[in-house]
Amino acid sequence: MQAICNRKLDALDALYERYKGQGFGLAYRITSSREAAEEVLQDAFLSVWRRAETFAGGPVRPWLFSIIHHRAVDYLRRPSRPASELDEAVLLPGSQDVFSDVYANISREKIKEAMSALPAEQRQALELFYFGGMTFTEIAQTLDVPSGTLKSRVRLGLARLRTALKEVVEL
Amino acid sequence: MMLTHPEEELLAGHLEGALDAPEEALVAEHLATCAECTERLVEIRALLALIPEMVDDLMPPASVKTGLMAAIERERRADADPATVEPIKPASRWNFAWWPSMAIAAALVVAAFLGAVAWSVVAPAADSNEGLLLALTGTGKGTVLPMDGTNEAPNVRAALLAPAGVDRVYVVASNVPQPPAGQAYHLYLFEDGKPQPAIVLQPDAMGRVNAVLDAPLSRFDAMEVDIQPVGTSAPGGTAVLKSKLPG
Repeated sequence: MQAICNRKLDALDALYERYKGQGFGLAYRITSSREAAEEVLQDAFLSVWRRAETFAGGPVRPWLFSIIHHRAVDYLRRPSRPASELDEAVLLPGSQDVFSDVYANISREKIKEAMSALPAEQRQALELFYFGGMTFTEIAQTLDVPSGTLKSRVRLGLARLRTALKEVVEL
Repeated sequence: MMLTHPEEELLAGHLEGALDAPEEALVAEHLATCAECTERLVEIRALLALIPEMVDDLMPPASVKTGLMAAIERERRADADPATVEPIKPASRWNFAWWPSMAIAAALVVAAFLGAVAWSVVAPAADSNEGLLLALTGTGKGTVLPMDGTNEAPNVRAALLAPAGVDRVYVVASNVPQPPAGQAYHLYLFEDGKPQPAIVLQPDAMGRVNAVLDAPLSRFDAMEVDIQPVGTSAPGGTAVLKSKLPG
């Protein structure tokens, strides 16, 4: 990241090559459109280039994916909501120490296993919450459940996820 | 007013923009004065950041990186010398003096295509560069699709012009270097992601390319120009132009 801060294009190239597959997969998962995912991925890396100095240290991976995630959600919300709030929030430093602890100990497969092990209703609620770009109210309407039920599922899902991953890291 | 600490899902909803306005206001108000919940927020953000890890990889097309690098290059040029940066609207980059030669070149290189789907039609202002270009095609209305060369050919400027009402597309480019011996510029059109060889482009001594495709380009979703050995019929080699099409 320091090299990107120093405007080394090769460093951005290397970052792109390393994470393009997972980044594009994430953008596509959220937008359900290859064209939109392409736009999101390009936008996200352009944002990394422009604002690399806001990176506060620690692993790059979660920082980059949070940018891609929020860009993609902004894309979904574009007709009705401004993009600026999430864009600003996602680039705020402050949680890098926690990220660092997490990523030092958790493998991707472990996370997949933890998500897969969630009860179906909780996993569905979490996925719509994270990938759907919708409010709780909108998700509840989509699932045809009361808003309180939906929130409980998200809460329980997060708690189970934390418990499942606590074996390898303090969350 | 929210007096107790918000539940975890409300903090997560705050991070993800998933709260309705009244709830968001309460949570934000609470966070402004509660250090404990601010700490919880950091931990929840870290937990949420794990979720992308469950997504499988998917390879993006090369055009994403090409577009990214081109955008950065434009910004670098702007930073280096704002006075000389080219305008975003690439149509204004054209040197119109050589345009009439297009009609002659066009007669030499025509590729026939089947199908008849109309382009989306725009009507540029009469005094705009797009309007002028389209006027030179004899219609005055249509679509102008400008594009920049890839990193392999950063000086190339090109455009597709699709006059309204006819299934014809003019291909024009400048700053195109002569291809190496035995190689040529092959233009491919992609229909549903499958490439079709369309035409071989030959720059003149001044690096200009003019060609015409009798093609309903709305059928196609992308185009690409590659430097390849003469006679090649599939994309490959060095790409000098890549663009999505409005089809």
